[in-house]
Amino acid sequence: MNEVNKARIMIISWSWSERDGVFPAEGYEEWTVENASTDVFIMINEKHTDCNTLIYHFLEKYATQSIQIFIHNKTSNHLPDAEWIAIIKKHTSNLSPPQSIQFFSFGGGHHYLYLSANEHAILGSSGTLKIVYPNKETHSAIQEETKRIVKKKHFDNVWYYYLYQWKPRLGKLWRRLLGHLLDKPSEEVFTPRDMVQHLEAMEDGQIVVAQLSSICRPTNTQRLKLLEDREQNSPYRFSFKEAQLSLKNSYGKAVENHYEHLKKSIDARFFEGVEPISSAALRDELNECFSQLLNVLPGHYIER
Amino acid sequence: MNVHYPFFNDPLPLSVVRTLERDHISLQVLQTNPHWQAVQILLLPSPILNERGCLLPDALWKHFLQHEQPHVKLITLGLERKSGVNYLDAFELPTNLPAFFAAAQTAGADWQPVTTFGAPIEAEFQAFFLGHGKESILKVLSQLQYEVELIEFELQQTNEMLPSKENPIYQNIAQAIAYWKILNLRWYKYEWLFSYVPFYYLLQKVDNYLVQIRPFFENPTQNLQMFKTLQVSFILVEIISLLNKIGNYVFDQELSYSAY
Repeated sequence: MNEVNKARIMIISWSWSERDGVFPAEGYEEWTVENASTDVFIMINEKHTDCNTLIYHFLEKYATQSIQIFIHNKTSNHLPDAEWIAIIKKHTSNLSPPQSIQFFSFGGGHHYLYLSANEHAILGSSGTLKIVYPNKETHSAIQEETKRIVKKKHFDNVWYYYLYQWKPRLGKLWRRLLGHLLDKPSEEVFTPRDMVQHLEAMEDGQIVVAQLSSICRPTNTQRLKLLEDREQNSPYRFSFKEAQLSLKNSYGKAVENHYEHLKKSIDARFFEGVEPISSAALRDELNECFSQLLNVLPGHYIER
Repeated sequence: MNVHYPFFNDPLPLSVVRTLERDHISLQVLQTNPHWQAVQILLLPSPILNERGCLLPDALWKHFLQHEQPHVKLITLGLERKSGVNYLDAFELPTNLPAFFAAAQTAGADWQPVTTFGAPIEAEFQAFFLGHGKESILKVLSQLQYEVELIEFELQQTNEMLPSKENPIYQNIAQAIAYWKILNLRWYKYEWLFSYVPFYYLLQKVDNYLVQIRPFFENPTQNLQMFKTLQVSFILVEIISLLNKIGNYVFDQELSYSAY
């Protein structure tokens, strides 16, 4: 079954139960998508005692389709992100051909899937699928409440944003990083420690270092916190915490290999290595890694 | 020797500024709608970093200058190790920059800029004009203009300060407001792009015009008497004319996009 024929399954575990105080006791609702007979939108009640089991159940049920799983990170009821990533990794390693399963954590109202951040998104206020502003302006992802149908435009918008988010984010990191390297004479050599110190002294440099760290050390909570704080005040995301799994599961081994190549280079040049390198030589090495990856990644360089 | 550069988001990298100083080249920021005869060499950092992503401005600037200011030497200041006409690798600047600039081609000559990572800005402008499979902005404007002409006509037919509820003018107003909303949504969705193009001053003019006529569309019934004072009809003609002019810079065979 190729990518075009797969149904799209979006699973969101969130505080849906706050919607009207009445959420099915089984802990989930399955909705369809307007004019898309095979696509499914699944709401899981994060307060349900078995919410993790429910997520896993749908992961298995739709194993041969394309899945995006969104886990609310403001509740303690969910397994930690790292555990979910490990579960999905294990789950997909038993399946062939490579399954398209992507995992994302969200929370705080500023991520792309919130209607407060993007009028064609999905999550409204207080566990709903709509948001009503004080001036009565309403944005809603609901096509038909009684028949449980979400609007295709909203579903597509969120789906494709998360599917293609890595290319513009990687492109921006590349551009920002090289811009900072340019402020050093091209013949001067640096150790990784010098390089990180140089970057951290630049405006926005700590964010760049945290982004690099999220590529090769996605569990470094201190630096991830910097990115999460930044994301609180921005409609854009900066972290690459979920990138490797998403890229592998969406685009297969070749893309994962390019990502791994980039990751190793970043680790050696900014964190683990000891070899000094000139900024011009580092530019060449980074350009090679970034270009190999960016050239095979589908999507656009701009986040719309 | 003077080199101009458009200030987008970031200053030029220090290493580049130092090299230019070393070679006694003076750097000047390119003004919006500059006195172009004073601009000989234009250094264009590429790609541009915006919070939405990386934009490639080169082809659009080349196309604009080729037709409007062919004497200008447009130089791409890039981050990749590439070679090509008028391309400067920011990491390995030539030892003799004045000689590089002297040998560079003018925008009027037949050459294409080197392409690097990023989204061509002309493609983004094409989306601004055409929408994503929806109505083109010029079509929306002409529909708006039609409704406004009808409002104007009906106002001329009646001597009443406030036409009666049965007057068809209110249908035209409702329709005009619907088109006005589409126009505004498109305009503000793409506004972030505007300062990166050489015809920014034309877009600023359009923006000023939109601000001028906004009071009518935000409360048309109350502002019906202001319709003539605000020159809504005349201003719409001006906006259409400006956007047609901009369209000529954005859609061209040379930019590989079909006419709209």
